[in-house]
Amino acid sequence: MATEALALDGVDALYGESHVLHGVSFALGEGRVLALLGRNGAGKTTCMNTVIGFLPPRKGTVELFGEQVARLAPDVISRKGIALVPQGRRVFARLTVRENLIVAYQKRGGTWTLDRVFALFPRLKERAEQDAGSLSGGEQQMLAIGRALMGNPRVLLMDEPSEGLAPLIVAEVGRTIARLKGEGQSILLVEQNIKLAFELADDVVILNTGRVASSGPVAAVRDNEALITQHLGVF
Amino acid sequence: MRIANLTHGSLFMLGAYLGVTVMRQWPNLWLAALAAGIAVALFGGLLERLILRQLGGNVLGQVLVTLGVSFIIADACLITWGGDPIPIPTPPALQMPVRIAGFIFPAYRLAVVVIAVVVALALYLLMERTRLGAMIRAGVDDPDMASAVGIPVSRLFSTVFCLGAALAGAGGVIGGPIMSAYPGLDADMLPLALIVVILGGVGSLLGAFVGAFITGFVYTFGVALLPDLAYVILFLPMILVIAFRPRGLFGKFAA
Amino acid sequence: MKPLEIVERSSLVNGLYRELQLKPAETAIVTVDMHRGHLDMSVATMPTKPEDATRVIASARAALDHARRLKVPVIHVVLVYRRLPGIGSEGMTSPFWKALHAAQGELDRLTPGRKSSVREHNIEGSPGTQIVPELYRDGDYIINNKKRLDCFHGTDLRQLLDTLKVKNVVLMGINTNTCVLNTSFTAFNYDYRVVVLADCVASMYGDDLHVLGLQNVARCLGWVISNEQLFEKLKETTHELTAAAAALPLRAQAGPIRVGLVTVKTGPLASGGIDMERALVQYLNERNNAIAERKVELIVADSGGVPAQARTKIQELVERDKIHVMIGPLDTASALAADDYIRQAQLLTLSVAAADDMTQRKPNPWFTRGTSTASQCAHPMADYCYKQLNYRRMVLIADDIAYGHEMCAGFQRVFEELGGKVVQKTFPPLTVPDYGTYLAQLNPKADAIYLGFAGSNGFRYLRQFNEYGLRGKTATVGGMTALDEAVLRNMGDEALGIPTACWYSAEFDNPINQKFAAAFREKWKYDPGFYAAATYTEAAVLEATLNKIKGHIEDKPAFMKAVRSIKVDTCRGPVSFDQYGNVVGNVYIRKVVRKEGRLVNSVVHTYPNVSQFWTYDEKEFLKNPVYSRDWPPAKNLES
Repeated sequence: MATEALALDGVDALYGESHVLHGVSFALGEGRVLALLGRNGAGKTTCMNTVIGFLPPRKGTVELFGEQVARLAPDVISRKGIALVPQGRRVFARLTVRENLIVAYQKRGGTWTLDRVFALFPRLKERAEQDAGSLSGGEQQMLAIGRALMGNPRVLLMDEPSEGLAPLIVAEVGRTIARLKGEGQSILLVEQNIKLAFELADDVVILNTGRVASSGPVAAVRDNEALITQHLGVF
Repeated sequence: MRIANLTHGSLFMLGAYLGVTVMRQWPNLWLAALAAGIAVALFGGLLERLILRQLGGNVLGQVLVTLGVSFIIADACLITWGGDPIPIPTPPALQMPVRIAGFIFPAYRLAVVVIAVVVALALYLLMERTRLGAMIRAGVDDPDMASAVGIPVSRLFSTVFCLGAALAGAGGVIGGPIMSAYPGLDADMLPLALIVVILGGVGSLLGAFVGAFITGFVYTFGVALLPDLAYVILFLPMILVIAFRPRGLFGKFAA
Repeated sequence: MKPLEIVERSSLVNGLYRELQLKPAETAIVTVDMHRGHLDMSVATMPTKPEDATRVIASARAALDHARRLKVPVIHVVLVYRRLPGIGSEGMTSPFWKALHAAQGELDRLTPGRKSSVREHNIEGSPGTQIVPELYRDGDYIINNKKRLDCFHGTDLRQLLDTLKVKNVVLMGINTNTCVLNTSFTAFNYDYRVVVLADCVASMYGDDLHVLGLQNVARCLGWVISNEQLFEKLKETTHELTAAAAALPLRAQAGPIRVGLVTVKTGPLASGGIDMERALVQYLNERNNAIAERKVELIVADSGGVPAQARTKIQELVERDKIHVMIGPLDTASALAADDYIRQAQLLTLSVAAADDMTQRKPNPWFTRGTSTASQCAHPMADYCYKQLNYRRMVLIADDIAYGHEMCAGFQRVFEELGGKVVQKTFPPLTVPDYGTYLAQLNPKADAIYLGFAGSNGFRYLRQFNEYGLRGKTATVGGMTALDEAVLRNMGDEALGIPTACWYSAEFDNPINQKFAAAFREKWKYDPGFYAAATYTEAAVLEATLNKIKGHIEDKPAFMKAVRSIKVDTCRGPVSFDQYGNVVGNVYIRKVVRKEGRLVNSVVHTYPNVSQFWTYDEKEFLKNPVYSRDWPPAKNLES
């Protein structure tokens, strides 16, 4: 495996007193896409929240290219190079599209700028001066992705990017992710759409009730129907 | 953000008194306003960091604590500057009344109007036309998400709180030649600020601007035309707005 | 048995009290059986009455704490019995107590109506032998082998007292008529000075024997005094007596006169309130804190200018601090809020507040005012404006409170009856931050404006008046607080030449005021004004009245009668009172001038002996409604 872009080791996380992650360990290789799969409530979003710092882990370590980032504040973690496309998109509704993007800009020697994001999503450019709250779901998703890219992240967290979108848009989001991957972006992807996940991912980690149930290259998991049925309950 | 801050009147008064002290040494109103603004900003920063920050989103707690702090400020001022009203001299260049279209206006009051408009405009530009302003608004909108895109929300909010305190402090000095510094100045000013905010809507700069305009006009004309209603007239527009539009004219949250 | 009367020996006792000296270094407090066996109802084997226990513990604690602060040693003597084989408690070797057990049931022994037992009393190791915890502190001495009624008998108390070089034995404890009395006798026999603290003793045998014990001590062998008297005696000898105080034969046996000052030391009215305290303290210091040959204790309460709080504070002063007389409160609203309570508590009140009707249609029998009503100075001001200044058309402006209304109404009545016209009358709210609107509407065709403001409002109004370029266009005159010395010291030339009417001026030229104002200015670096003069005047009224009734402030009706008959010279000139308790005194027309660099109210005209009824017939005056916003009606308003 290549360099580890993001590595979780023995992460425990709790909401109040309820234990939601139990000793979760996995690693995302640099330039790879790791799909985090599991049923609802398996702890996928919690993993994301733990990495970005919304929910500091009670135990365990989170390393970004070997640097410990667990228990830092979200804005510090962000400035170290992790960006999040959150579940539900969470664009700043009363800021314009342009403002949504520029407030998130971090140079960090990356190539993402306002112009490049607009080039990637021409639709956003058209609506640059509109309030983000007035965009359609798909446009908001593009904005959320664009906003994350403006931070020139070393690791991109994407939480359910296809959720609630029309199939045409889902395909577009998929193409965008593939393109980012092609540019060498390390991506941790949470996705309910297993088909899409298997298309995009290099590696897969399956969570079940807050524990890592299985992990490995996508090829190994994709063909293990028993595993998929047991932990994902689909097909 | 979204702090229910009842010390605002006290910060205004504190600014006025600090201005008095500065002007005893260097008799220049603008210098005094600057100095008082900085000093009150520092005080506001301490208040925010040491006390309000600890209360998180506990609005009731903030109301009570800021009310308590305002009492402490009031008595500290009383001990430090005594109970007598202290005048703040009008800048000599602005002491003469001016005549415009047959009406007499004190020049200094016109200057205050100009300052107010300039400050309002500057604030508007800061909030709506700069990246910093957008970051502040993003922080108000969704603080968690804002921090996840790298905005140091908590530091930013402390700064904004300090800026608010600075404006209150400097305002106390600039209002000084009209109002003087006296015990009770805080209690006279706070209701005006609250009325303006409730009227205009919490969280809206434009609302505050319009609210201040309405309050000023209604009060001035109301007192002149219906002197017996002097007490109510100030609250009438506020009551109407609360009855028909609880979030205020331009408000984003319910007051 | 026919009831006995206690023989009246107060002159003996009072004479003896004057002779009592208690140097702290030669004094010890001996507590007699202050243990749980008497005083803690949950374990007591020979209980006192529960209410006695509460009283004794509280008072004893206060006395002991005070004594310890003065390094007076505290010795606790406690009775403890061993249990002896074949006999039981050592107490049972007394034939009397043994007989008591043989003959009587539990409820019928030494403590009437309460269970008690000598046999079970204070056996070694039982909780009853513990000293009441509130009364014990580290550093106290304990003697715990008392066996009988006398603290000296069989103990080393005498040896301890002599080692500590004690000459005065101050006793407290249980029971007044047995152990305390017996210890008093023995102490007497050993030539100690014997003192019993009346607040800190009780008898479980009954109140009659308690009284017997105290009478026995007071008339035969020592001194019976209160806690307060103890503190006084310890203090008298703690400090060197000043020559003046020593020369003064204080009527000390009656205790000090407690004066409560209800003032405002926080909030917007604090400026005047602090002056009230400063002037009163100055008055009392000038008299070595004694008037009418009695010491004066001053207790100051801060009402914050809030009427409800004023009432609570007054109640505290009466019920907790036991004041004899109140000076204050400062403001009218507080005076009105306290009116009922003053009547109910029959509290002698020397008021500063100006509410007219408190000495007119609703006179409070306990209320005296040495300052003035709100309208009392407005009447002569109107007269002066019409006759001397020849104003005919005037504008009245005042705070929208009763004080402002009454002042303007009084002015209007006199001015219009002389032939003048009030063409505009405005009452801005008390807390209006900006008078711009009111200034813009001023009737431009008036001869002058009368300012009825209080506090800082007159000051702010005049500044804004100038700003609007109105100075020199319309003349201004003022009521009694508009340009008070307190405001004047922060004003500039805008105040020059403005006449106002008040019952006082720091410039008023009589020997009392010359001395008062000079000393006040010396100490505080500013001129005394309305509020300072108010308490200084009220204190003079208090002193004159007390001199007349020989210091006997406890006789309230006599005080109220006397205060209405005195005539006293004060810092505001000669003062007397009408039948309603309101002052009759001079009103001065003052004019602001600059003197030695500062602004002062220079007296230009005096209206002598002005009553609250002005020149009107009192009965006719009282038939009218009280002065208000609407009475008398304004008939000449324009615009």
